[in-house]
Amino acid sequence: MATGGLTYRYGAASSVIDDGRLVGLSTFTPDADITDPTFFRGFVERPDVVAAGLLAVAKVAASRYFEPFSMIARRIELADPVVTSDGQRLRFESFSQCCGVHARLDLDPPMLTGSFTGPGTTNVDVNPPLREALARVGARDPMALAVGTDDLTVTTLDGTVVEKKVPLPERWVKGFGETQVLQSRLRPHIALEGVGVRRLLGSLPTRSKDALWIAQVGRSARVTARPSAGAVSLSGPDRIDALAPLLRLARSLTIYGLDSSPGRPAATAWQLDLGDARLTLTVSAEPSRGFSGEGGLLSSLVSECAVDVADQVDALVAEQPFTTATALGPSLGLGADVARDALDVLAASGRVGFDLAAGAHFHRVLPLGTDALRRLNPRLATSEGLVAAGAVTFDADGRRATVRGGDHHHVVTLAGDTVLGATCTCPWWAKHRGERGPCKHVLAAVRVRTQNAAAVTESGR
Amino acid sequence: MSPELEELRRLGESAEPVQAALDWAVAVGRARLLELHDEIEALRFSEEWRRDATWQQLRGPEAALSVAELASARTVAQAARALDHHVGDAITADDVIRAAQEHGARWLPKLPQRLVRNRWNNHWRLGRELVRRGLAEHPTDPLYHEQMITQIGRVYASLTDDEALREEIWSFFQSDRLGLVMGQHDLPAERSMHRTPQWPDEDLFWRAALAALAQVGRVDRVRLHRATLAGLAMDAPWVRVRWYGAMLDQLNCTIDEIASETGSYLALLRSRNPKAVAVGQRAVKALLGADRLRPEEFLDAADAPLYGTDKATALAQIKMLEGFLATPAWRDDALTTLLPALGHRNLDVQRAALRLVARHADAVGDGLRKQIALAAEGLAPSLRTELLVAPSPPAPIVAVVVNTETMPGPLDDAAFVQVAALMLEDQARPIEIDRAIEAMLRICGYPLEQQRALVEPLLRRAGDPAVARTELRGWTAGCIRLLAGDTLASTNEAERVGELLLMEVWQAIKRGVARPYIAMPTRPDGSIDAATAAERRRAVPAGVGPGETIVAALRADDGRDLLRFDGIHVVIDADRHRLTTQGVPFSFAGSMSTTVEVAGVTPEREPWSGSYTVGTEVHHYVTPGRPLITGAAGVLVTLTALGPRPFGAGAEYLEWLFTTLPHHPDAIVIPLAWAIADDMEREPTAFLPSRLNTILDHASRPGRTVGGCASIVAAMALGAKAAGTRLRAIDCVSVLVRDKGVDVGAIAGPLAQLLTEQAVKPSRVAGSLADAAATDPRLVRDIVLPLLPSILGLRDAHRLLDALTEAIALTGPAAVPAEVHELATRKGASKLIQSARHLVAVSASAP
Repeated sequence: MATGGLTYRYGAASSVIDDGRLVGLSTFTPDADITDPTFFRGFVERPDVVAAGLLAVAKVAASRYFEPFSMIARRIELADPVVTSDGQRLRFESFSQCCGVHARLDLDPPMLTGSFTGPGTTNVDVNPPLREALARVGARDPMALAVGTDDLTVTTLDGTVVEKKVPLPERWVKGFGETQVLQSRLRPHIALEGVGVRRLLGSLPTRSKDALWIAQVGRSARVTARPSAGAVSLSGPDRIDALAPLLRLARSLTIYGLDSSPGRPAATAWQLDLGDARLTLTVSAEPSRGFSGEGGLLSSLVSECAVDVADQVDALVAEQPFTTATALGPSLGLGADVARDALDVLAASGRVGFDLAAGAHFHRVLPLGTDALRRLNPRLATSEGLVAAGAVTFDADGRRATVRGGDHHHVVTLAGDTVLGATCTCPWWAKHRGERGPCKHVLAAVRVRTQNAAAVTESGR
Repeated sequence: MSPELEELRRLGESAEPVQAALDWAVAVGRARLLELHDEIEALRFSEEWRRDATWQQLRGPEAALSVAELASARTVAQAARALDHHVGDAITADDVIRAAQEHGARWLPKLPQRLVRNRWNNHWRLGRELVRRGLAEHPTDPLYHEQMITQIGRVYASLTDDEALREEIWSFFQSDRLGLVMGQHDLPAERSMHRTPQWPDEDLFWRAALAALAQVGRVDRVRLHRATLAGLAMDAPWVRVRWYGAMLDQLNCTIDEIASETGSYLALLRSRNPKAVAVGQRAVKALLGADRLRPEEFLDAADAPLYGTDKATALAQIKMLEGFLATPAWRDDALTTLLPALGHRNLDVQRAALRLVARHADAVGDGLRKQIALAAEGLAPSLRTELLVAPSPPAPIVAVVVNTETMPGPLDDAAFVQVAALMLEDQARPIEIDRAIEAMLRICGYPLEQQRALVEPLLRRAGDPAVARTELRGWTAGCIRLLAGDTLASTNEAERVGELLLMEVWQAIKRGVARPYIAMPTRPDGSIDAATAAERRRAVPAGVGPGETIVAALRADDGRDLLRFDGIHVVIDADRHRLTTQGVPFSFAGSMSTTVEVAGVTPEREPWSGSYTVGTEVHHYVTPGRPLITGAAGVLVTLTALGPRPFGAGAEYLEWLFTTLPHHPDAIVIPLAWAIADDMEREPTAFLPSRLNTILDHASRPGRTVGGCASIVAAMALGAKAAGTRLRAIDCVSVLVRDKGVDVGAIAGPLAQLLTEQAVKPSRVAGSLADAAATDPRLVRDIVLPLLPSILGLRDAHRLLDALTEAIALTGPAAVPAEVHELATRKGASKLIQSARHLVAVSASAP
């Protein structure tokens, strides 16, 4: 997958070939010397589902649901969806251009009949002609799927290299991490089938500035403007627009929400069950909030222990299609908390995702190590700078820390050993009230507190 | 001005200024030109160059200067800027090439790409010529093609002459913006007065040109047909795809051509754009009529329009399916395909589908019968009985308010610093601000060192000039600096009660004497227990805190006694309409007026202005800018006098007002009638906080006093334009009736008046009530029934009847007014009569 603002380079353009029977998805070649990655070649059980699902993922990648003033003149180029194969299933993912919506199409093993060449993650080229061809795919059209460049270059005898310059894929990497953390905390709140799904999506206003609340009532759901028990929020209903074309193919809809934030708009995930496939749209708490800036991972990234074991966890996660923090802990002799933090560390570089239906993490093969954490999380890097400069001093009770920077200081009040419940007097915290992750001062204070506790334990020995 | 440029100025006035300037550049030489470049660029708008000449007189010198700028350009950006500066078209591609080549410039290959960056320039033809001659790279920017569309000139002639240009058509068919740009170009051209024999349609607009070129074989017609269909199938608003529809009409495809693109036309049925679906339906109908489409292919795709929300395409689709239902071999498949129509939002679509399903339901097998029963859950309750399916009971009512608020205790020192940080960023809620004020009045009695240590983390931000720009943030910053020991001047004048209060707190901090905050609410709605308020007043020396006392009097359950304390002489001078305080070291001069009882009155629309008033008896009190408030104490101040922010600033300010006048929400709501009406017709955006939403939210919150106007506002909001506001209105009406004991007549009465005066649209109100009927049918029935006699003559009244019918189907028989019975017996098939008949039937037979 392209990172750091590289240029996508495809061995050929994705297209529908072989007289419309083979959908060839061209994969990104990270290095000219490396053979083009090929993930799958075979048939799909429900061509209409796969085609509509791919179009939905591509639509999200092409959509911008929030446009700040500063972006009106500067449009971000379209980024291509990412495909991940674990050797049994395929997952296609994308983020909207505002990074506030994440789409994922999961194709389970029964949907795919053919050969996998191994696990991997890369971008796939989704171009206008391919989108047009996918739109024409009907339920009865037999469809073969080739994820890789070989078939395209061989079948079309067209060796034309396709290049696209996409400047901001790092936002996607950060978004992968944040959605993983979020999804692992989401719980199913609403489950609808058939008419109930349609009625709910039909009753949502197309536009609404304020958050709407959706609550389960019997076999249907009701949309209200104020929160109620068990309700999930949705800000910017147009952001789940990509679900609509798949409505006629869906068996059920499950809406996942957070248990911990009743009464406040929060991120939600909308999952359509399409048989042996699922389309999941995860939407941020507000249209103006992109996942890449949520800062939900930072609390785990301050755990030095988790960073230390991240590579071991990575190796273990890569061996199996699904894993959980509770299952990982005993395998490595770690507590579940450390295992969870380690998974978050991996997620911060996009190497771990979360499957809501399975309730477990899955692996992505990305060429990013833990050394990228600081680059991707400037708040973390700045907090480390504060710690290194000795800017953090604690009161006698150990709850309040003074974090100095230049000619001023801020006071951090901790509620425990982690960033949870911590507050700071800095303007950034005042603006976001901790909803977009901890500020650099809180991170620095927690890190120092952890170091102090470790030193006390060490001296006790 | 350099002598060379003096010479250039003179050459600019010659008959051939461009050629003269090019010769001049050669004579000056590259090295000197590079030295002169900055001076040339700066010269354009200088008087030294213009010399009071008119624009007409400057045409030659301007062109000469552009050539000089071009010839002296080092970079492609400078070259592009030189051409952008050039207003006319005197500089040709040959001139540009000469300027570049004679001076060894290396920017020429990149020039077209750079020129494209300026969306508004007119240099596409120049760039194209450079590309055509092989002197420049082909631009990759999509804007190049957009400029091609608008700047090509005679479309047909240009494309006929240039094969390479014709090939470019296929590139721009890949752009998502093509439909929009083509539409913007063609639509005005089609309507233009330029349609003369000298400018035939093919030269004026693209779709005519492309069709003509396809006709003569210069453009691949098959490819054009396919590309047009692909554009039409794009998931985009009609404005972006309508050009493709027009292009398709222009192509006037034969049945063979349509048959060759069957897959694309079937894909149009899956479009979310009703007009694109209609194009697909027309083609599919033609194919079916000509026996060129297999029924199974059609039936596979035929359910898609039934999942949409458009009535016309759904009805057309049902009509097409009706033909297949008559054929035994396809009956079951067609019936299965038809079932989604039973869950369509539109009742007419449901009725049409139901008619067909009911006709064939007896003849189908058990499997399909089960599917029908499942699909029937999507039917409106009043229609379910026709399939012998009992209407489901109404879904349980969702209790829309869960957060019961409790009044938090006083802020401790650390928590105060945290809230003060929020106030500096304008993030604190009204009650938090009061709690911070209470803490400040305590902390100011601490030793100075302790105060300073406490607020030190905030000092940097408090000193930021950007913070001081807004009133409350600036005041907070000042208080923090005072607590830190800074010496700041204070004003002794205030025009609003809110300003007076803030001024008092400022002065208290400055004096450093701790005392209770008299106006501190004791409940989360902002109200104060009267005894507590009186106790605080007694604890404060005489003459201190008149502003706080006024606010406390407004907030207290009974604040009349508060204003009678010695030393606080709040004098109501009715004659002079001024409220004055005496015995305190500052003056206050807020406006006031005589008492008025504000009753719940329905806003009326003024025919001449379209704005709303709230009844003649209070009309003169509610002119914008001078509305009135009655406090619990009987003190009257104008809304503008409350402050501290300017009146009408938006939702935050309204919240502050509600906590300042917790017992008199109507006093806030009524003066805002004009603004509420404004909000009703507006889609709220991030930049326009809706006052209407804030008022509805306030009325829906537990523990908030609701005045007579809340029900009026809720009735108005049922017809708001923004769907989110209508949802809020439904919630609010439900809470008012169910939890706050408001009589349903208080909603129905104003709603009837608003509807008959056409102040709200019946269709919007009906939509709101139809949504509410699923969970609270009794409420909907009780609201709509009393409306009936007065609204039957209104446009879209049938939709209100339909909403009532669904409510009655769920709640049981109801007595429908005689006017509806009379309507139902009339001859005719208008929607209103049909709806009346259905209502009468359902009201008699409902379970």
